[in-house]
Amino acid sequence: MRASIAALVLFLFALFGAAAASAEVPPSSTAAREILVMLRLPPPHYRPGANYGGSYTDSAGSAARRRIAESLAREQGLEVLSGWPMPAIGVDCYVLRVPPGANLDDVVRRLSQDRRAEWAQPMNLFRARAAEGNTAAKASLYSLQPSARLWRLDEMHRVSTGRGVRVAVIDSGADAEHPDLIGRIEVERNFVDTREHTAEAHGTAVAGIIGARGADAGVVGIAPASRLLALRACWEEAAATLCSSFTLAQALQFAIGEDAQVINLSLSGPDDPLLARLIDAAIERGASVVGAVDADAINGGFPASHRGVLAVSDRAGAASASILYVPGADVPAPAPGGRWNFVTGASFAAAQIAGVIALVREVSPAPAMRQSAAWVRFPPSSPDGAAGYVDACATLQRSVPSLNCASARAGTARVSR
Amino acid sequence: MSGGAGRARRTLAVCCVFVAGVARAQFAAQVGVASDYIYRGVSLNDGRPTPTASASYDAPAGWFVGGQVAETRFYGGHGSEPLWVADAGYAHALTSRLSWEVGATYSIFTHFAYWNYAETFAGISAQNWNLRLYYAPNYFGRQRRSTYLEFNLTHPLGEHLRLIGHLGAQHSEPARGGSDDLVFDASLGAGAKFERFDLQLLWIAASHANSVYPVPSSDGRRHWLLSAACAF
Repeated sequence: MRASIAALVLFLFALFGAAAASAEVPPSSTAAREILVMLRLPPPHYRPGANYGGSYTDSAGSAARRRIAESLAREQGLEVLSGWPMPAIGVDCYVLRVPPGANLDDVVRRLSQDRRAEWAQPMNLFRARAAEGNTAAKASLYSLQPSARLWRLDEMHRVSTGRGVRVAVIDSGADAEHPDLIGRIEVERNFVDTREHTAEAHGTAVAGIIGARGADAGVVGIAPASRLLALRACWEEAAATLCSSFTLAQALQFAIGEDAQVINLSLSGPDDPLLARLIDAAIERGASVVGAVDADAINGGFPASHRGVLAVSDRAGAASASILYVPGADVPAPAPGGRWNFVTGASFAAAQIAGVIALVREVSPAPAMRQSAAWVRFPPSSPDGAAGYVDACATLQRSVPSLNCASARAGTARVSR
Repeated sequence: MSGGAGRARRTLAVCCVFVAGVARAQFAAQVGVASDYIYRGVSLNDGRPTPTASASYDAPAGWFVGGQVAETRFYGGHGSEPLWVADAGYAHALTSRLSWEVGATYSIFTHFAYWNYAETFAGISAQNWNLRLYYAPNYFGRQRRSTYLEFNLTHPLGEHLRLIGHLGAQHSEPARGGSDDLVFDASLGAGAKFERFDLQLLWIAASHANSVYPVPSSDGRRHWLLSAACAF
């Protein structure tokens, strides 16, 4: 009985501590002075006294790593802000704040040389690949969708709607109450702050292009029966949509843990070792990872440039065999508040490819969609500017030979650029 | 002279490797209290609360050692006595999803040294489950071989809460003139983790009394177990 009372007292104390620790921190104002330190997470193993339970992230081990992180921070004059286990790549990731006046690169170099740390890196910022200045769209949008005109989406939906395929949309907040998305989002998580629901333009558009349910007046998602995981790792600031290494890593770890089969990353930024390792782990587990190409970056930007990631661009001009080209201009998409916009950018080209992968994966459980060679392109002789773009219908036809793509090709109309 | 210098260099190299290893090692400790000490479906503390303490040390190459102490009450004993269990082993990640481990434990009974016994184990683990097979040639000092297979599962219910499930089966060699013992145990419950605090509430059941254990009462086959622990 005494033990039970003691346990309850501890429980209440723990609840109080958790509530006190959930204060919100603005994501971007401090990101420039933050770094990440990774500590080794030992493989799970027998723990004394762990009968009837036990988990990878055992409390005692977590506390030990937290202590090491605090020790590292103290020695360098830093402050530990938060930590997050990344069991998919065998590390715990800690966010440390660097005080004003300290050289960030020097701190990262010193911590990387410390044997207690696996590695350290700057907190990188990533930017969604969307053009500014979306224009409002009106009802009956299906006929205006590039996927409808170029691929005959209705024909493709006769054989596949992406049913049961788990698609992780790692982006800004998706509006789960939008008529196009009601009932479409299976899991919603926020890795930016503590708000439960956050409706933002970029994430709502990307989620809708991939998986909108096709309401009467709205858009039809490429994979309207897929299972959407809306993982908020980005936030809107002024006219931009930004994400950090840490929020993206948390979302990737979650997507891996949830066995997402398709992971969409409509964003780009500098090379990032933490995200690279998480993407490798996702690919090793069979996920298809899609990244938007930054046309201004020499290598297309990260993660599109990372090995195994399907790089998607909306500009068919600079042809590259390793990049998939999809029309990404004036794409009708849902917007927060029950509205619709025409959106433009590689972000939305990537979202369409993520949807097509979901269609293929429904009918072909282990497709080799990671190689760009697995994708069919419209030939140079295609009419009205379709040349070079992905031919999704013909790509899906490889898995479903009965699919009739002739009408799709014959009906190819002018493609927006 | 050169031989001495070589030895010194080798010693220095070994020391450097050791120091580097220690620097990257992780030491963890936990203290707690439980409403009983339930081991494989059997109360080892006669249904009474027990304080517990455990520690573990993870070396960077995958080696680990640890130990635990908890209060127990056995048949023929004089009140409570601590039971110490030391463990050591090696764990290695097979993929980003799976890892394997091998190891051994040694249980030390303070007042009944002839019950002391060793047990080996091997298992595979994923993020939310593990499967282990244990073998002891002289389980609880009874001159009986024992094999125990367990499956543990956790399912997250949110950031702090998780479901916990366990299935176990113990086969013990027959005692003189007796028959084989095959006892199943299972548990289901919930756990909550807040920072360094961990709480668990479990319902535990065994298929029938297990005669292997020298406990005062082996009739109780269903238990509620409430435990709380704080990690350092």
